[in-house]
Amino acid sequence: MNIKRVIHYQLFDLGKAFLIYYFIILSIILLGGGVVIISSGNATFNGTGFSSTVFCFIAGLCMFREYFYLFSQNGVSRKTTYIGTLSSIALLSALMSIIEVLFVYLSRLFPSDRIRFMHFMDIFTQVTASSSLALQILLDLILTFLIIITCFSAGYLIAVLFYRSSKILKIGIAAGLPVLLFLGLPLLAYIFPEAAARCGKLLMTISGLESGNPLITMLTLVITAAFLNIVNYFAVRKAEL
Amino acid sequence: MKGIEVKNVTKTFQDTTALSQVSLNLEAGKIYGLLGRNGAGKSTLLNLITNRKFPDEGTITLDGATVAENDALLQQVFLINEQNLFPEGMKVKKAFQVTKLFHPSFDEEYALQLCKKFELNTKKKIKSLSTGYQSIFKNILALSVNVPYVFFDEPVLGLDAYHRDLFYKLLIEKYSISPFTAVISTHLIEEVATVIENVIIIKKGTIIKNQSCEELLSSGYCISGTASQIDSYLFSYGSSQELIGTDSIGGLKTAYLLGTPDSSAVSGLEVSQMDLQKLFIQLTNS
Repeated sequence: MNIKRVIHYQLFDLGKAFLIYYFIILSIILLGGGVVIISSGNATFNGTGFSSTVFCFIAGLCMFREYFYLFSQNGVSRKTTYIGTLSSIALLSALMSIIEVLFVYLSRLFPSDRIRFMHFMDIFTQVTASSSLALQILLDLILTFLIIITCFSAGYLIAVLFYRSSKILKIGIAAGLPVLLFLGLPLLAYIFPEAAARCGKLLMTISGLESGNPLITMLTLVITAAFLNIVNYFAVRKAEL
Repeated sequence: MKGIEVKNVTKTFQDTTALSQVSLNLEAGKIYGLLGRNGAGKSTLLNLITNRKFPDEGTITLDGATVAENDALLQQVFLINEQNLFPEGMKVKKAFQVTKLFHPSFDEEYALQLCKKFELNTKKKIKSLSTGYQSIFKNILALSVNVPYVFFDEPVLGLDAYHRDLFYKLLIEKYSISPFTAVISTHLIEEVATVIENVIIIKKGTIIKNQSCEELLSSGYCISGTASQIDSYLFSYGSSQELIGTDSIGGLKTAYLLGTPDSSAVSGLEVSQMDLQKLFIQLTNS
């Protein structure tokens, strides 16, 4: 019963943020599209998928502390908080993937070929070229869902780990992570170019980009999301107020 | 005997032992006073009972079942303390609605009536309330939630005398209509003494007293006289009572004892019963 209440509260609470986000996206699209229609130019909209992943990552970052406190005040166990949150994330990811895919495929209904939406499945040109529309939509839905849920889970995990860390570790995560990502890794790649190349190739392989097979991408995302959420569970269950 | 049973609970924070092998039982339908000096372990105990923290050792059960991570049992307990666990930007009225969502027994109408009595504006954000009104807000929640076990950790923090009096009156009124177990942790012992039935005193992480208020108060005596008189009394009859403290001012001395003094032995001495605050001070004075 509490799981439903947790989902109910989170969906309503996050719903406002999502409405504002999509209002902004829609406004940008309408504004851009309007400019194209008025002028004689062409437009390609890309980045809506990427911006959604960033949005979900940040939403994931914000989802832990406030809800954990509120649910603890109201007699909800950590296990229920976790399951409820995971369910909310899954529902929101599903909803967002439907909206994202709708953006792309509804735009194709417009007679104008001057406006085009780029999306995740566009990376897999071989598949999009050779498959039916229904299959494309299905693959796009699943791929978008998996990307979004992975981003949500990653944000949530960082928030939980940050919450549970000591002061020194908090500084390490807050400062160390960006330094590692934007300074450390490029530096390592410069010092060890061969190892960097091998890592790059491995990433290309497991992400499915090398083979152009979206199923490999999906498998990697499923494993990543599962791993993140398993770690989330163990991190949340021992969180104290 | 069921209710909430705390058995051999220990909790340590880094190098500080907050609670050490604490055992107690909270019966249904009683008002307990949880007293202790600063850092004694009162808040830690309440946090452990309500699953906000985990004990290092020991068990906490409610009607025989472990409370930890048990949603059904956690719905039967409610704790308010100085921490505000509601989102800062949330308004008072919204907080009531959210509490109702998770506790269907929450009486929103009663909560709004209490808001009128305390003059709490329900349209205000929780973070914008003063310290006193934040306490009032939490007290209203606790009085309206209608669960079997309600824990008040410093409920009168920041409250003026009028609001404190009002809070105690409402607590007793609520209790008389539908009895529940209330545990009040406070430093204002004189005020709460008239409300509580049972007293639990914690000292440095261990429970030193856990009995009915009446029983405890009936056993506490102050015997005053000249220093030599008191010393003589203690030498001759002190073994029949427990000496918990002494005070000396000039040539006068007061002994604080637990146990009924022999009426013949105290002739010429001034004998009075200790109030709860004095008893608490002497018991926790190391």
